[in-house]
Amino acid sequence: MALDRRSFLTFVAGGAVGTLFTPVIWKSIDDTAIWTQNWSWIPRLEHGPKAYAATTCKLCPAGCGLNIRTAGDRPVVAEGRTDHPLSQGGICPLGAAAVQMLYSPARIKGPMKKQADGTHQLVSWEEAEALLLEKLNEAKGQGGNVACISGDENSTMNEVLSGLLAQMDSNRFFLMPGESLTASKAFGSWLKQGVLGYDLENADLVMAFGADLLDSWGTAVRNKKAFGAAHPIGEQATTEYVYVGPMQNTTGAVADKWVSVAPGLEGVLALGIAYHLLQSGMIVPEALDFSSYRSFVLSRYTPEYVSKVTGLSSEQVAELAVKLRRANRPVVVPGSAISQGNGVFSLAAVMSLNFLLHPVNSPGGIFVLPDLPTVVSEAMEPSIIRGNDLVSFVQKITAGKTDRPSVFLVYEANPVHGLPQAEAMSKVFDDTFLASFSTFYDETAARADLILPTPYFLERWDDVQTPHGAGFVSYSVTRPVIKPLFDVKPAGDVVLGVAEKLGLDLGFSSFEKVLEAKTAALAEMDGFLTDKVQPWQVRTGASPAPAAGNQWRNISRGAVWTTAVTPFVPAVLLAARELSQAAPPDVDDWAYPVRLASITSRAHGSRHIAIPPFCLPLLGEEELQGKTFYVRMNSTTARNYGLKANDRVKLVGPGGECVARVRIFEGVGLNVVAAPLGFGHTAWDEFSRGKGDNIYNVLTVRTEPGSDLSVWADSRVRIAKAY
Amino acid sequence: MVLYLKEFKIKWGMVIDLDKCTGCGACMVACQAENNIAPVVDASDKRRSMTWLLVYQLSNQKLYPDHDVAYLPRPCQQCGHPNCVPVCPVIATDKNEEGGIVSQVNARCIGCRYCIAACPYHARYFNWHDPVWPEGMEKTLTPDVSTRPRGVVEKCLFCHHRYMQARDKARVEGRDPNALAEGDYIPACVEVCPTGAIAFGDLMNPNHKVHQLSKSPHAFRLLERLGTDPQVYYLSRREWVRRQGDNILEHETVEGV
Repeated sequence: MALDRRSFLTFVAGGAVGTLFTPVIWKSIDDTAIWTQNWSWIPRLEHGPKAYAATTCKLCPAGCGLNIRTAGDRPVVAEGRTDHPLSQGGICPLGAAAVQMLYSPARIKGPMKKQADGTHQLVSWEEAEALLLEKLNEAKGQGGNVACISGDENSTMNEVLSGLLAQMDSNRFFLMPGESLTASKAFGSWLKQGVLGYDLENADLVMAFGADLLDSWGTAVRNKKAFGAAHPIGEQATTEYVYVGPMQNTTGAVADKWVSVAPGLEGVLALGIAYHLLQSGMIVPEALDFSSYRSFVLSRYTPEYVSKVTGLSSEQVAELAVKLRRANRPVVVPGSAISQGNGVFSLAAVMSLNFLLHPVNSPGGIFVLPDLPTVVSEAMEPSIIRGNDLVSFVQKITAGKTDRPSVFLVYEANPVHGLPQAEAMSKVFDDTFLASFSTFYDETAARADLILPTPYFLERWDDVQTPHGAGFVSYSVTRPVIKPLFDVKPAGDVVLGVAEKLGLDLGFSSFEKVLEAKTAALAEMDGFLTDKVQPWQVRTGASPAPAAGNQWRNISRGAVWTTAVTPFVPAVLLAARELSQAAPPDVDDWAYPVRLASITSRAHGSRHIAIPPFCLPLLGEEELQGKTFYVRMNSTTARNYGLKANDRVKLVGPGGECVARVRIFEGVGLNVVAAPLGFGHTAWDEFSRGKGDNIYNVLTVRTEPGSDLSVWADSRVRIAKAY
Repeated sequence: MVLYLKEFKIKWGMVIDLDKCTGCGACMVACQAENNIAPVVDASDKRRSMTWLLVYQLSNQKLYPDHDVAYLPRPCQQCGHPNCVPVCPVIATDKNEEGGIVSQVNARCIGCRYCIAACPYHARYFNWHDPVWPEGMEKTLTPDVSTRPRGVVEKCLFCHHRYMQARDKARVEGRDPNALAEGDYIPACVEVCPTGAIAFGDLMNPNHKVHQLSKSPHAFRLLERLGTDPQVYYLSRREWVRRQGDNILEHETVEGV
């Protein structure tokens, strides 16, 4: 059978048509597409059953409840817990990046000791603990020869550390400076058993002075939830939010009204409003110093004076007073945009509006939130801890007015980067033994003689007591959702172990037992779990069932404990004496003519956490460009200093300087430059290192007359074009 | 290539209240975690950063003190008449499934980037580089969304895997997977938003909140006059914000020409 031309062509054509009926071609095209994308270096997904673990966030002081979604045993995503009154299902950008931070390249892999050449080398835990023991033994019994700085305001860890110090005869236990320090200086004389809280949920007017309520201030996610609930989507707002502050930050952007006031002048405006309220006959019957407050405000804070100092018209001030007077349940929130460094004048002046508007402990106003009982023997009372001024202490040491401790214990804090005038302040660690309990290789760890790495909060037991700025008492526990990835040890266990070897008895063998005891101690107070009734609902009539059952079992699995009991306040002090002494001077500072409005945003991390990798894409083109960051000013200010958009600009403060680029943003007040904190890291990892400059360096610390408090929220700088 | 326009009984859509958005960016972070987007060291290099959901800052362009600012989160708009679909030579992107979500099949994508050029919302991103996770961080990848190599385009899919999971759940529970209740299926960004600025649901279903909200006099869509018919609506009581939704001329009002 010969193959002629015709049958050859038939065969070829038939074959071509035939192949269309086989799946081979289509399958191989599909396979090619798949296999050309299937490279070994692209990670493959690992499957596993989906589950959730409830815990409490430790990345900032707001104390949100997190639901960690796991696949198999791997935590994969952090979500906000709907059953936690501080998160109510919401989350902030930092919390949303919590799981990925487990694997941050900045994680410390094990205990490290500083070598003669300045580098850190891994050592064993035995060696590290022996070194700590040796140093503490040398300092033992020598009064304040050991000092401690804690970066966690809300943890029972502070009891363990302050208990250790107390038993070593030292009272040098400090928190990283925050607003509870200012509140303690202003109201500590009569408010010993707790702190003031703000009942945003029940208010019908929220007026925030300085406090960046909807980004980073206090219980940030809870604040946003309260704002969200009061602004139902597509409907009229039920609660008006007014922001009085230096710029259209997160709060200023969405608040129903923004009133521009330079940082440090919020107090002046508040007293200007108080003038109107007093004129309309409002009084504070329970205030012992009301008459001196009244005469001080009426004599000094006249509409003309306030208008001259703040730059607002008298009508604008009067209008704010009318708003407050007309509201049924107004609450005024004092603070600084950076949650630190504000003075007694500013705080007491703004807070006095609350006292004028309604008695303490009335729904939609301010409440006294009692402190929770302490359990570690000889631990410092929370009210004492709140009053310890770290910055003054450091200044006294560097000025030679008090002796330098030979040992510094730093727990989950980054004072080398995050104290005002950071460069100068960090000199306090010269010639001392610095031990850092940190999860990440931050600037303080990089400087430390000994690093005792703590587990990340997803790997350890910890707790959160009523955060600053909360509206109600709360207690919830942080619990491990994954075994520690590295050779780390809970700081509580390390300290308790060392204390035992020093012959001191703190009463506990492990930190978990401390938390168990803390939970048990809550039974002293009349509390309930927030599973059905929320604490703010109790104030408007809801009645909760008292907490029952095994308290530790419930709380360690995620239940949130709260109480509606508020201490009886027979009398208050408006801090009239401090107000009159601490009033800011009228003279302008010509050496540093520009007011600095520092910004702190959860998108940039927090006091002790540098910006997480997942938050970097949040920064716009005019926030960070390569290694340079931007400061914001309005076009008039820029023109006055000969600056244009994108120009390099130098910010000079008395203690240091920074370089940035100019971003023209009209939401900043006149003669104000707004700059973000949290940049300019020198340690950490490639995601945050070397990006921007550290604004802490240009903050200016001054001592407020009358209160003797260190204040820097109203810092000033000089600005000039940089070449 | 779609040769006909398919009508859907279900149209998943968002209504984003710009008066409630604080621009915090929690949605952007949640989106990256949910969809397995790798972090980049220099995210200020916008050719490298992948932002399926991007929050823009809007300004009323007035000088201090009359300035006002708003934030606009931009996911994929899931257009009713998508520009990206007809230009795709390999049907890697299509609008074909009930629900009206514009698909993106990574394994089919040949990286021609026609769709990027066609999309008026800049909602599509191209992998110029292979994704790199810092050592160990790949263990946090969710099991739901495949990782993408270099050379393919990606975009927001309204967390389509969550839609599939919600449908599966409905089937297991004996409910109709084509009649999901409000809240059965929501994307990650909607779930985490701390002020509740985003409403999500079926635009065609009168029982869903978005159905009414999308008809609000304060509602608008981006570049509506291009005729792309997006399934993402924005709300704002501020007229200047609504004006920025399209190229509105000075003599025009946002309510129409």
